[in-house]
Formats: sequence, structure tokens, C-alpha cells
Amino acid sequence: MTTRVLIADDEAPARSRMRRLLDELPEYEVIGEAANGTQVLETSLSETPDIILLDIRMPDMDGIETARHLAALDESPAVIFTTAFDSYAIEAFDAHAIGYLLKPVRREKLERALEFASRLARPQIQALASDPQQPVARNNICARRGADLHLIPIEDVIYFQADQKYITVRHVHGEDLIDEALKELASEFADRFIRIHRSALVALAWVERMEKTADGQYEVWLRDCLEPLPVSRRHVTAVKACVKKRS
Amino acid sequence: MNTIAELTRTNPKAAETAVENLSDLFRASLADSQKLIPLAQELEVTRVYQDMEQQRLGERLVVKWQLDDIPLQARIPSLTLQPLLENAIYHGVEPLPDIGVVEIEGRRKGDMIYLSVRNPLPIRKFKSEAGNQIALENIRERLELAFGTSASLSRAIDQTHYQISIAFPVKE
Repeated sequence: MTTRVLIADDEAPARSRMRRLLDELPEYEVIGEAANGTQVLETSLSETPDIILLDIRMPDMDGIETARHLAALDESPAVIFTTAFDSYAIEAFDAHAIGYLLKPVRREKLERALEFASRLARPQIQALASDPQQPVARNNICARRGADLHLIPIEDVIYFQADQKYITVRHVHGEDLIDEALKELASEFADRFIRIHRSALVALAWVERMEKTADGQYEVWLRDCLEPLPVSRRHVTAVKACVKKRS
Repeated sequence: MNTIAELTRTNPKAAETAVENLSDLFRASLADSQKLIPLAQELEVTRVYQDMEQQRLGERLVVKWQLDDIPLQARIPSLTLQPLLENAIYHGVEPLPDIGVVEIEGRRKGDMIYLSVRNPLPIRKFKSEAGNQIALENIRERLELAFGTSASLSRAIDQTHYQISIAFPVKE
């Protein structure tokens, strides 16, 4: 059985070189090419490759962030980063890639990295890929819509609200459900969002005002939202300070 | 280099040109950075560099030149314009998912030559990348050494674009 590989790079010559190198290795089959992070996620979902050769410096969504979204998939592929820049090595290491290759990639090094990656079982890959203490905040939230993945730019998110099991992401184009933890979202996006309730995180940029209702409850009104969200007593002071600072 | 590695197989003629271009660039970068060269030569190096990037980025890169009768024999410190194009592509075009247009303009007004390089300002920059302040500072210093206070380098940023302009006296 051949190992199925996806090539991801925003530069066409880089993709075709990688494909040519792989064509000379009969154990590996190139199942597709992607020119950006979104295409990587889409192809990974539909084709479930075993290994992705992932360029780090890509427009829109870089390889590091793409790898983090990949790690959340049910069948996450093994990621081998490729880059022309040495300076990314440490960050790639933090993102727990299986391997790291410098471009132009040497055939022997590629072969070695692929061999190592194809020996790993899915659970090992998953363990390597998931890291609760990611240092850099993502640019997008990845939501599942039926069979598709949908990326929501973080600047489009108005609030996160925790339900029983899922979190509702309210954004400028509607709502989506994601399977993440509010606590981790709060720390990852601490510079953009404020906790207003045990179950809700609100984007600072969308906060309009806070009001006290007749029964002494506090509510926060958000731009473009018809309904206010309740503010719990213990968060009132912090929210008040934020509203004041913004106005 | 990665582009050349691929071209050697798929398009040897283009690979040959790319190696020649790269040699020109290396030669220029190894030369004395204080040396003044004819403007024509600096424009040539910048075009050679553009050619290399064009191979790598394909139709994602568009460079528009608008040079209004500037004196090509005027002197300029070596590698003054080329790094500006390099920065414009690196910070302004590569982070864009689609096409990025860089505009290079040159004109003469009296005894002064004005050159500017303008690139789109990407909404999302690449993470963990330092700015280009060191390159700019370096160009500014070399202009000052060559022309004293009559030369200048300025930067303009608006909602959508980033532009570096340099001005220096005609010196033949």
C-alpha cells in the first residue's frame, strides 16, 4: 500500500519540484496539491492524506496555523513543514510537526522525513500535534458544517457562547458551532476578547455599552446584535473598565 | 534557489537566465556599498531582481514601471532601489492570496531625482517577522553619505498602501 501525500505551497515551481521528487519514490503517491491553508484543510477533509508537506510561509493562513487546524481533524495527517527560512525552525518545533525540511529540499532528507512520518500511527501523530499551550493566537476559527470545514476570521467573531457541549460562534455572517473549550479560547485571544459571563466571551471591538436592567442585572449591548448578553456580577467591574476605555 | 532547482529540469533555458540573474545580484551585493553607480545600472539590477521574483511568483506579482525622463547617467549608491522592490514584494505581495501590484516611479524635477516604490498593505502580515527598518535605515545612511542633507528617504502609509520615496541630487 502506498502512503498518500499532499503537497502544499503557494509557489507553483516549489510544488512541481516536490511532486517530481515524490514521483521518484514509488512508496508514495501524491494525492493533490494545495496553494493555501484553506485548500489544505478542504483537501485533507475529503482525501484524508497520510502526510502533508506543508510550506510555512503562505498567504492568508500560514502553515503553522494550518497545522493546528489539521490537528483537530478526526484523522489528522502527519505534518512535515517545508520552508526556505531558518528562522521558522523554533516555531515549527513548537507546533509539533513530525519533521522540518529546508528548501530546496534534498532528496535524501525528504525520503528520511517521509519514512519517519509513515511509520507513525495516527494516535502518535495526534499526540504530537495537539499542544494545549500554543504560543501564538490563530487568525481563524475552524468550524465544521456538515462535510465541510469553514474558516471564520477571528476579526469577524462577535462572541463565543458556551452551550452544554459545544460553543456557539456568533460572527458577522451568522453562527457556527465549534468543539473547543471557552477557557482555552479566552487565554488564546486574551487581547481581543473579554469574559462577561462564565459562558460567554465577547470581542472588545463589538462592545457598544453596558446597561443595568430594572431587576439589577447587567447586560452588554453589541454592535449589530439585536439582543444584549447578560454580564455576571463578578465580571461587571472589568467590563465597565473596558467600555470606559473604549468610549 | 528552490525555483532554480525546479527550472533546471522543467525549463533549462529559464534556469540558465535565473542563474545569470542571481550572479548579477550577488556581484552587486558584494560590491562596495559606498560606491556610486550610474542610475541605469541600478535600474538594471532591480529589473534583474524583478525577473527572478517573477519566475517564483508567476502572475501573483505585477510590477508597473513609470520612469519619466530621468538622467540615466546620474549617480546613486549601489543597491538603493533594488532592496525597496525586495521589501515591497516580501511584505506587500507575498502575504496576498491573489495579485499584488508594485508601482515604481521615477522623475526628475530641477536638480533632483525622485524615486518611489509603492506596494499594497496586506491586512494580514506573516507572523513573527520583523519589519524592514534596518534595510531602510541602511539606504538612508548611504544616501546621506553620498549626498549629505540634500538627499532624503521618506515613508508614507495610508489605509491600503505603503510607499517609500527617495530624493537625491543629480550628480554625474
